Amino acid sequence: MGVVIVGAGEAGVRAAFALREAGYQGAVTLLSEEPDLPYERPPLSKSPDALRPIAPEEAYRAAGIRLRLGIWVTHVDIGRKRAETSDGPLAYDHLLLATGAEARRLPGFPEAVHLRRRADAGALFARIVPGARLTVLGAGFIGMELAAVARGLGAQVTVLEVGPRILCRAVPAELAALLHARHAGEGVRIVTDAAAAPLPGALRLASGEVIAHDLLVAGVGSVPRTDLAERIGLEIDNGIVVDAGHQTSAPGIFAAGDCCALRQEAGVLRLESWRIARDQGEAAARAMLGLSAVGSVPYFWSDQYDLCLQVVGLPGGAPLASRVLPGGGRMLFEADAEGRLTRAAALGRDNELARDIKLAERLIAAGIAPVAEALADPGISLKSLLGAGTAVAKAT
Amino acid sequence: MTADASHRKPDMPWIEACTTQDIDEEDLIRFDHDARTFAIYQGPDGTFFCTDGLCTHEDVHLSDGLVMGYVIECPKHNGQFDYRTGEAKRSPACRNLQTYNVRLEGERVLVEIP
Ligand SMILES: Cc1cc2nc3c(=O)[nH]c(=O)nc-3n(C[C@H](O)[C@H](O)[C@H](O)COP(=O)(O)OP(=O)(O)OC[C@H]3O[C@@H](n4cnc5c(N)ncnc54)[C@H](O)[C@@H]3O)c2cc1C
Repeated sequence: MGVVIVGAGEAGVRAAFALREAGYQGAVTLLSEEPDLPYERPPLSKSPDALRPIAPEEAYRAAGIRLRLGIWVTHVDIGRKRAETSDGPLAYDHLLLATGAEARRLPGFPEAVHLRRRADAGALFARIVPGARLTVLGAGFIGMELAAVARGLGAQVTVLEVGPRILCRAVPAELAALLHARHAGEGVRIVTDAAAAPLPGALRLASGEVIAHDLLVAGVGSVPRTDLAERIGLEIDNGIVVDAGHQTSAPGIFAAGDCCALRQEAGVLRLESWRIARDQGEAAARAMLGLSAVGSVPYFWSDQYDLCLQVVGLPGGAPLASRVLPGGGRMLFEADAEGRLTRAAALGRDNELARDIKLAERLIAAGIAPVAEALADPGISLKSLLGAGTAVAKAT
Repeated sequence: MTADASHRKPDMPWIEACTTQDIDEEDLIRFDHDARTFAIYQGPDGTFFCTDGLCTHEDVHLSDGLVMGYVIECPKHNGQFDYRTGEAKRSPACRNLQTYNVRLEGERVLVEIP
């Protein structure tokens, strides 16, 4: 008995350790379909040979976490509280689904490869050699990060995006334009509003132009791994639907990370980021034990060349202010109808923006409605806006 | 961690790192010495501290991070350390930070670097 965790990505691993940190004494079994010691995914698209374990092997042993690699869960008998695995049944008191997501496949492009796992990265980078022609379908984070790394390795890179601009989904247009210019300056060819048809070893654009490639990568988003949850009969809506305590529609079964969708007043919200997966794993572990979790503000980052993009909060607000950072970077703020900060997005060199992003996170978490002029003034520290005196307190 | 001079080994050199004016209260700066990098902090009560300069999770300079109270938050991945003791407070920083003794001579901030 004890807790069984399905999937050893960021969410699953964090949940396992968080159970111990919260004092849980029962058995903790962490199952991973992948054969590798659980590893971080973000480095896979940022460097050709980055492999970073989430935790060293000894840490699992020291924490009394039973890590079982290369084992997958095929079914769950909810009534008998039993998980069926490729290696036999496993009884549980609580079950956590942390099954993550997989790369979205682009139908009709049989040559396209994807990047989600360590093995994908190995196969892909073996083919990114000086002079190799790489075409990336989709100007999302993984595609643009890969484009930057491939340029550094001397490949010729073309990025084709069906939408009107790069990083359409999660990055404000102004920052996306700065990144676009940088990629262009580095010699990446970016074609937006591009409809491409597959040919052998090439793509044909609507204009008739044919772009030959040695390697075609599709970076067109991810889809949640809900196969197991569907088989069990859990509620699914672009992810395994969970409440604020990460409880699924079946009592005793929790879900966290890229696989889950949080039920909100208006629909569901599925978030995919490294830190969110960790925070959700921790929140789910604590919820199992009847403990509350510290609230966290959604956050993600992306590295391209020596530029770092960091975004904290959720989209949906209106532009409020723009700030020039000390190193020349730029930070944009958005607010809701009451003027409370809802999102901050910054682009700058290396980590010059980290401090201000962390302060923005605190302003968002505290529900503060800062004066736009203060946000825009690089002479006013964001830290000073956290104090009650200088900020307009929460309106409601 | 203010140093107690009586416990100090004679071969531990005290290096002048900066002046008290160089660091705001509740803030830190980076200090490079002898191919090593350190972070020097001023706490909210005006006391000075020193730790290794790189986060234990990934080689990222803590000097770009944010100090709140006695906690430094890594600029990249949200790991947190108590810079007085070096204790890792929040994952992914699972290893503690090395700390070093600090002593003031007037406005000079001296760090004991073995
Ligand atoms: C290339 C790449 C780059 C990224 N870069 C960034 C970045 O810069 N910043 C950022 O914030 N985020 C980034 N992300 C996103 C981030 O890595 C994910 O949000 C995070 O990994 C999600 O963690 P997870 O634990 O929910 O899922 P996953 O990491 O997907 O782990 C789920 C695990 O569960 C396993 N599994 C599934 N079903 C079963 C089953 N039935 N039985 C057993 N095991 C099962 C899967 O094989 C997988 O190993 C990146 C992702 C990728 C792929």
